[in-house]
Amino acid sequence: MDSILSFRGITKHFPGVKALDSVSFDVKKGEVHSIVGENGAGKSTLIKVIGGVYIPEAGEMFIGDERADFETPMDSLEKGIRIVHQELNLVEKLTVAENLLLGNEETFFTQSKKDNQQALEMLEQVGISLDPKMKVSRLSIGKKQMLDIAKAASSNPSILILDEPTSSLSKGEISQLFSIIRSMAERGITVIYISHKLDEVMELSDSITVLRDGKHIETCRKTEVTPQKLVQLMVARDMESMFPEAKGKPEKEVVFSVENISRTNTCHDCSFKLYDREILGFFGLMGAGRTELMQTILGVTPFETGKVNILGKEFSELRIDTAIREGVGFITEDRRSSGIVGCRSVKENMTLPNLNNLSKTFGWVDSRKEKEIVADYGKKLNVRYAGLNQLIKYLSGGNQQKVIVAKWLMSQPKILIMDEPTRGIDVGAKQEIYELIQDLRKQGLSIILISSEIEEIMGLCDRIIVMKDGYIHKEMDRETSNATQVVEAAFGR
Amino acid sequence: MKKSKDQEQLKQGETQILGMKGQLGDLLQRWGVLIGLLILVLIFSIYSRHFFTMPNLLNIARQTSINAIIAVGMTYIIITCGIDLSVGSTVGLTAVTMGVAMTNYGIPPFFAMLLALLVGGIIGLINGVSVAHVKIPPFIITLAMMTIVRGIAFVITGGYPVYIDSDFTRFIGRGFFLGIPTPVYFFAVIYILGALFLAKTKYGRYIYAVGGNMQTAQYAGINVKRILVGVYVFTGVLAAISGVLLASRLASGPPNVGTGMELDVIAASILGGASFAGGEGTIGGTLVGALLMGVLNNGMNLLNINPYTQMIVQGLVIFGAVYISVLSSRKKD
Repeated sequence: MDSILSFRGITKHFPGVKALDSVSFDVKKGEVHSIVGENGAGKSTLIKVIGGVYIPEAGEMFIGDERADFETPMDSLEKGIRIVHQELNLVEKLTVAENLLLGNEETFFTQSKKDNQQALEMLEQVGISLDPKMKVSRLSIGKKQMLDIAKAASSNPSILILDEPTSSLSKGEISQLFSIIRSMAERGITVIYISHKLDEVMELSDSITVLRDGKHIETCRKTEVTPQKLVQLMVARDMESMFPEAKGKPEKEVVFSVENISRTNTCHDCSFKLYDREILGFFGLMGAGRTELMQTILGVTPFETGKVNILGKEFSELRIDTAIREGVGFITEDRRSSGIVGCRSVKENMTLPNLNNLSKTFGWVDSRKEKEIVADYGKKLNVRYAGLNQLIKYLSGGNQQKVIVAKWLMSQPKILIMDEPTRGIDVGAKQEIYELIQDLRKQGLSIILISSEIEEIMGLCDRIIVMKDGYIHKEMDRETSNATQVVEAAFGR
Repeated sequence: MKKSKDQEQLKQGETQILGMKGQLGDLLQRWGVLIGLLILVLIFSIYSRHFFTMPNLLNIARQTSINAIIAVGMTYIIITCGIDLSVGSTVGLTAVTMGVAMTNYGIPPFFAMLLALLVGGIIGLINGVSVAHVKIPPFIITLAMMTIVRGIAFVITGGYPVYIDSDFTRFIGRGFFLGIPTPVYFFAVIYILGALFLAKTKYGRYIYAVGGNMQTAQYAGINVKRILVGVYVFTGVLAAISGVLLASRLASGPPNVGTGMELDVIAASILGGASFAGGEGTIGGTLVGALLMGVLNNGMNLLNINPYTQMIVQGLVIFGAVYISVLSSRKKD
């Protein structure tokens, strides 16, 4: 078989991160080729390079024998490359047929009957049974996903890229999808399949490529590997030196406990304990429900059953402001959407949850005290900013993150929940955050650390809770388990 | 890939230039309206000898006060990513309320005014609860309220103005205290308090935070809904104060008073730098914006400019200011 898509030394930087580091491998014509790797391994960056969204700084890409310099997504489309993203690309208010034909209508006035017939043929060709007259908004998520794939496949692409297509599909739909994918491969369409569900990858693919930290690790035939081998290839990494020594260890006393917390479609019967001065890791795949569990515990979305105990006080319902008052801080996962107020200053961001302590009658803010405390925390956490009144959106990701940490430390919590605290920040800033986490423990805080980076979990935590599908799947001790075991647990093994 | 490297360098160059333009835009956005105001004052002073005289300046202050007072609340609302189209109708209904209470029911002027403020507050409450709790888009609910409230004003009066007269209302609307028109005192006090509240108290910070990033505000333990309801109630009450001042000055409560006023009020806030994207805006800016609209109006009248032409000029001023502000904010992101 000839290769249809080849990468030679593809490199792409983002500020502080080498997203793709001289990646080279070949995809053969007509095969199902899976790309696996952890979050941040470079899978999505690579797809965007293929899709013409990102222009690599170095390296070459070939389609067949022809060199491809994509500068816009249009260039990629013209070469017959179709990408189905995780976020669906459908117009909810239109019908199945209208979506399928969108942009390819042949006449000025739409002809429902003819269009529906044409849509039906397109659907049949791909092997999906859907009513063309149905409004897309009334389809289940799984059916929408199928429709999006049908739409991409109907244009007879040379390469079809599916990014995590099964994350919202049921078991039955998955096997249906797999037979569709196989029939497309038989028709000569090359399918590139991105997933972190290893059993699916093993079932479906002809070849598998492993990426790690933006580097190409291995490309092999499916018959040459086992799932265990894949996990090892995905996580093996030397990061020991990144992490500071543990400063102290957990005490016997429980400071925070959660009993049988449930919320429909979010988390199911979750219980765990957090000990004094403990760093408790929450690991799981994307969508395992870790963030949602924390949001539910703290009452951002209220829990339906169960109770929470904060420092000996029991709550059968909880609101976020109560949780804050009782000594919990919550550093959210997505800095931009829920961590900072971009258009306001460093100072205002840092003191936002703490204004009750900084204000007097009528809520008048004591601005001298405020400036002092902000400068103080800025120095403590080594935040680099031009001035207290600089808008926070002009800081680097790492410095924004430090301001967020500062704002929660200022509220003097006893329990600090950190959700992906190092996402999207550079290596130097990461190390500073790691150092800080250990310092905080030394100062007497108990920390819950949610992370998708197994090294962080292994390098920092005393105990690890693995979540899967909204359940607490497994609890592991760091001393007696290794990274491979934890990742395997997350995959449900 | 050499080609793309060149391109990226080009892009970097472009962003540098845009960055400089951004700074200029910042400068224009920050001081442009004030500079514009000063230029207008200069031009009108040159072309009309009546313009820069004490009686006329006081007149401008009194005329401006009606719109400007509401603009404080409007700025708060716009900072929270909202809008209130019902303020003009609220002015009408509160003016009518005061008139009916005094003339038809013989309620003393002071209490009739309080009643009007209560009506304004209730309208704001309905707006605020609809936005914060029912989650109706502000534009929609206040558009509906604009029509409903205006309709009520007409129904109550049968379409005829209600006569208002008393020493007290005459003093409030047309009187002078220490040589300065009484409404100007309301104007001044509301601006000072409104500016301090927004800039110096924690509640002001919460308003900015809610508008800048509602989720972040929620995670910080701020009661987002209460803040939203608060700004709409506040604006309703301010519209009522304007309604009371206006009815007192006119010595009557015509049900159509304040028609279209919401647009001038929104214009003042926007000229003052409040951004529909939320999280930005100041009361100082709003003051300059309101004064600019007032001066423009007054000066063009003194110069006998055709009222239809005046409308075009006003529209162009708003267009220009918003154009600059949008350009500079686009450069920044």
